[in-house]
Amino acid sequence: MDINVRKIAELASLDISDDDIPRFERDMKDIAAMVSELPDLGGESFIGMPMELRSDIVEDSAVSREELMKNAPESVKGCFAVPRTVEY
Amino acid sequence: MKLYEKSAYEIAAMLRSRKCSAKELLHDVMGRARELQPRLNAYITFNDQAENAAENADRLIAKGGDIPPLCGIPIAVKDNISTKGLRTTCASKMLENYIPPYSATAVELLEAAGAVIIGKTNMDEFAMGSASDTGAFGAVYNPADTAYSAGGSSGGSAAAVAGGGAVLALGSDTGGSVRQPASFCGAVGFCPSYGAVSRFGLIAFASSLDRIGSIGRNVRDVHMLHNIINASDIKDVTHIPKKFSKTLCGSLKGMRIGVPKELFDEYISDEVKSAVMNAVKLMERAGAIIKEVFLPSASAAVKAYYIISSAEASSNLARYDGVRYGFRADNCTTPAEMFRKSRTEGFGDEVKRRILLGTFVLSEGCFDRYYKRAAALRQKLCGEFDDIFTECDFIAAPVYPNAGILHGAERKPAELYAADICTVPSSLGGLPAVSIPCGRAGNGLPIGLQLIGRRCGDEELLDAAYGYELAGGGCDV
Amino acid sequence: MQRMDMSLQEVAAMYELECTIGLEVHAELKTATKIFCGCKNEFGAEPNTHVCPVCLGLPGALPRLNSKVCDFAVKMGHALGCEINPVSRMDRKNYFYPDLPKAYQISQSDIPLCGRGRLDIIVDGDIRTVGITRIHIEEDAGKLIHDDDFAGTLCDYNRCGVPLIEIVTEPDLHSSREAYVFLENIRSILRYIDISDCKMQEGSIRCDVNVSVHEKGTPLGERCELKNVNSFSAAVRGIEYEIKRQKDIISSGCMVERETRRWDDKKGISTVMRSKENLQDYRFFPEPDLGAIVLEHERIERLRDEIPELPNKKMIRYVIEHGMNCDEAFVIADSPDKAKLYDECVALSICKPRSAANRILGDVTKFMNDTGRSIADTPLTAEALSELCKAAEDGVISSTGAKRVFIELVTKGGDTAEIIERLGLAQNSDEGFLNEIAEKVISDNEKSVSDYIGGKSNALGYLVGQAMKLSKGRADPAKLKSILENKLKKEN
Ligand SMILES: [Mg+2]
Ligand SMILES: [Zn+2]
Repeated sequence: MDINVRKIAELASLDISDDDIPRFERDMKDIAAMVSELPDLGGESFIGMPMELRSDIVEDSAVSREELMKNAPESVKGCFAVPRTVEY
Repeated sequence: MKLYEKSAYEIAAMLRSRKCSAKELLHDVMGRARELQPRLNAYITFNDQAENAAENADRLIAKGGDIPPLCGIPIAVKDNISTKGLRTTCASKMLENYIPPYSATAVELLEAAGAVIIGKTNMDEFAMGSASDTGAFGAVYNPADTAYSAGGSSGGSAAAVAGGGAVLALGSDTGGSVRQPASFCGAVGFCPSYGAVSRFGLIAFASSLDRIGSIGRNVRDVHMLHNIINASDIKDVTHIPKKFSKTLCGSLKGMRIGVPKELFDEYISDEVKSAVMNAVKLMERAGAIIKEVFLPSASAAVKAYYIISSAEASSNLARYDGVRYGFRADNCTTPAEMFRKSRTEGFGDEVKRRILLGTFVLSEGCFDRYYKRAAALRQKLCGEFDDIFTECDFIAAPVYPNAGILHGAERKPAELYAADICTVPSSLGGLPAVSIPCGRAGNGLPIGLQLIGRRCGDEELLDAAYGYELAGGGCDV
Repeated sequence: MQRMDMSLQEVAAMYELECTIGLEVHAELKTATKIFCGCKNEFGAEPNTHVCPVCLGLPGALPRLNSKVCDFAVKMGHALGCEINPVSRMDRKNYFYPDLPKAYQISQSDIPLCGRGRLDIIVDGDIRTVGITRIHIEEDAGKLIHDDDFAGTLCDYNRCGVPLIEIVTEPDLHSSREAYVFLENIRSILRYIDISDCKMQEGSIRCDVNVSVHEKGTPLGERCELKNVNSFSAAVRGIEYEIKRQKDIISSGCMVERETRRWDDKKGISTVMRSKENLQDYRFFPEPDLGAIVLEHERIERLRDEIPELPNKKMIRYVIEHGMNCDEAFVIADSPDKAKLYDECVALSICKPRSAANRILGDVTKFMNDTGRSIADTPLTAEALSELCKAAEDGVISSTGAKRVFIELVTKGGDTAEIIERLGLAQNSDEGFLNEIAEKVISDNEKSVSDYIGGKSNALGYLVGQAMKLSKGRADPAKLKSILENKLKKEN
C-alpha cells in the first residue's frame, strides 16, 4: 500500500517535516493495511434517517458579536483578520 | 465514610434532609479532586464558579418545594463538552485558550437540574486515543494503580469518579471512550443510544458516532445522570425523542443474554475472558438465559470504524485554521501558510495521524475502496445486530482485551486501534452499551463487563446492568 | 509530417472549431433566515452581526436545515421541468479558505434535490433547448474585505450560510449570446417564482462557466472552468475570451489542458488558478450532522401547483400567438408585473391585446423605470387599464389625455370613465383632442382652407362640419369652431 504522506498532508493543510515523514509513513502504512481489505458489499449510497426541517423563522442570537469574537486571534473593525489573501 | 465516597442518590437524600450542605459537599469533593490531581491528572481546569453554584443549590434547598434532581451534586465534565465561560480545550494546544461563548445542551440540562460543575476533565486530544495520553496536558493515571493509564479517551472523567474527585461525570464515547476508561478505573460507564443525548456543544470527533455518556460509581447514579441529559433538543437533528425513564427494578429473570463468540476471540486475554464469563454465569444464576450468538462482522467493524471515524474527523477538525478561534502560528504571510503552520503546531501526532488517514480514505480514487465499503459494512453489521436482538434482549461482551494499559508502553497505533474490537461494533450500530465492573485482574486493575442493548432500549439496558449489580456483580467479587 | 499529406479541405475542416459551453449558476435564495441557522439572511448589515455559533462554525455547533430552502429549490426544479428526488441528502465539500468557517461547504453531491430537466429559450428568433443536469442546495461563504487601513484581509461572515441553489446545465450552449439569453431567462424565472432577488450588484446571482472548443464532429475536448464571473455581461466577455484563447491554442497545433481559470473582468483576461496537476480534491462525503431530506409527494405537488406560467413560455406565446416581436415579448414577459397585467387585460378582452401591449411597453414601463415601483404596489388594475385602452381606441380621449388618465390610475386609482369625466378629458372638451382634429381637418382640406383665407367665411362652416364628422359627433362644436378659427388665423 503506497501512501503519499506529503500529498495527503497538503490536502489536510498540515506540514510534515522531512524528519517526521518516515515515521508518519510507517504508521500510515500500518494503519492503511489494518483498515484495508474490507469486502465490497455493493449496496446503495448512504442515506441517513429522515430529519426534521427547521421553519424559516429568525432567531435572535443569544450570543453577542463581542462574545462570538472574543476567541479570535486577531480582529479588526468587527471582522476576523487574516494575512492578505493571494488568489490560490 | 467520607462524603466524596458516597453515591449520588445517597448524597441527594442527605442534601434534602439537610444532613450536609452543597457547599460542604463541594469542598469535600473538590478537596479530594485537588488532592488527587498531582497523582491522577484527571482535570484540566477546575471551575472557579463552582462555589457560587453550590451556594445557589443550598439556597434552593433552603427554600424547599421542588428541588431539582441533581441539586448540589458535584459533576465533572469532559473537556470536549462546551461550557460557556469555562475554558474547553479538548486537551489540545489548538484550543488551549478557547472559552466557549455557549454551553452544550447537556451542560445546560445539568445546570438546570441544579448540578455543580466542578471542572473539566482530561482526555486524549480531541478524544482520539485509548489511554488518555495523547493530550497536551499530560496523561491521566489510573486511581487503582498509577503505573497504568486511566484508559481513554474519557480517562479524566473515569479517574475522577473512581477516585472520589467527582460524584458523577460526563464523558464522550465515539468508539468506546466512556466504556473503556470506566472499566479500567472500576466505574460504571454508560454510552447511550446514538441520538439519545443531544450532541449540540459536544466538540465533534466523528459526528455519526459521537455520544455523550455518563460515568458514575454505580448503575443507579449513572441512571440518574443519564435521565437528566436525555431530553429533547431541536438543535441536534440526529437526536431521537426522549425516552421516559423507568424506575430500575433490576430483575434478570427470563432475560435472554447473547454471548457473541467473535468478541471472546483469542486476542482477548484469559483473565478478561474468565472475569466476563463469570459475570455472565452470575446473571444466569439470577435468572437470565444465556445464548451463543454470532457477530460475523465484528473484526471488520474495527476497520470500518477507523475509516469512518477518521474520515469524519478529518473534516470536523478542518475548522481549526487559526482564523476565528484557537491557536494561530506567528509570522505567516498568507492564509494558506497560516492554516498549515497553525494546524501543524496546534495538533499533536495522534490527531495528525487520524486526519491524514481520514483525508486519505476520502481522497480521489480512495473513497469507493475505503469509505464506501466501510459504510456498507456498517449496514451489514446493523443487520447482524438486528438478527441477534430477535432472539436476545442483551449482548454480553468484554470491554477491552486486556486489563489496563501500562503507561509508556510502546505500541504501534495500528495495534492500539485493533484492540477496540469489543466496543466499536455497538458504536457503529448506534446501540446503547454499558460497562460495569466485574472483577479484578492479577495486576489489581478492575475489569469491565459490557452489556449492549437494543437501539433506544437504554432504560432496559440500565435495568439489566442494575440487575447484575444486585446479583452481586462488581469489582471485588 | 502527417500534416503535409492533408488536403486543403481537410486542413480547413480542422479549423472548423465549435465551442461548447456549460454553466453553473448560483443564486441566493430570499429566505428570512440562513440555510442552517436562524440568523437573518440580509444583505448590507454591519460585519459579523448576522452570525451565531452555527454559521461561524464554532466547535460543537450543529446545522439545522431550513425547510423553505427545500421548497424554493423544488420550485425551481419544477420551473425547469426537473425530476424531484423525494429523498436526498447533504454532503460536505472540503477545502480551506478564510471565507469558509468550517473548512467545508455543506452542499449536495450524490443525490441533489432536483435531477434532470430542461429550459426552452428563444435565441434570435429560434427556440433552443438547454438541458439541466441538476439543481442542488448549498450554503454561501463569507465575504473577504480588503481595507486600505489594514494590510491583511478581513473576514465578514454575514453572508456565510445564506442559502444558494446551484443550477448546472448540460454542455448545450454554443455561443456567448446563447449563454447570455439562458442566464437572462434563469434570472426571469427566479424572479417570477419569487425565490431570489437576483441583485447582481449584491452578488446574489453568480456563475461559473465551462468552455470547451473542439473540432466539429469530434468528441468534446478538455474543458476549462472560468470562475469569478459576477455578471451576465462578464460571462459574455469571459466566454468570448476563452473561445479565442482555446482556438488559438488549437490552431497552433497544441492541446487545451484542463484548467480552472479566474476571470478578471476589469482587465478582460483570465489567468490560471489551478492546472490539471493540482485540480481540487474536495473529498465529498455524506454530511453526518444531518439526516435525509424527505419530501412527501403532496408537498412536491403543492409546490408544482404554485408555479405560474414562466417567462420563457410566455415569451414564446407572445411571439407566436400575439404577434409581438422578440424584444417586446421579452420586456413584458421578463417582468412578472407587466406580464400579469398584460395577461389579465387579454383575458378581460375589453380592449385589443395590441393596445394593452403598447400601453404596457410605453406608459407602464416608463412608470416602473422612473419610480422603481412595481405595479403590484399601485392601485392600477387590469380592468382600469383595459378601459383606458378602449377609450383611446375609440377616440374618446386623446393620447395626451390617455397619459394623464394613466398617471391618475397608477397613483390614485379609480374608475377610468369617472376620471376622464372629472378631468374633462373626454374628447368634447379636451383641448388636445380638438387640436388634433382641427389640424387633421386643416391639412386634409387645403381647398377650403385657402377659400377661407381668401375671404370665403362660409368655408369655416364646411371645415367645422368635417371636424365634427371626424370626432364621430362627440366634439363640442363651439369649441371646435373657435380652435379652427384660431388655427386658420395663424395659417394666414
Ligand atoms: Mg457550488
Ligand atoms: Zn447563524
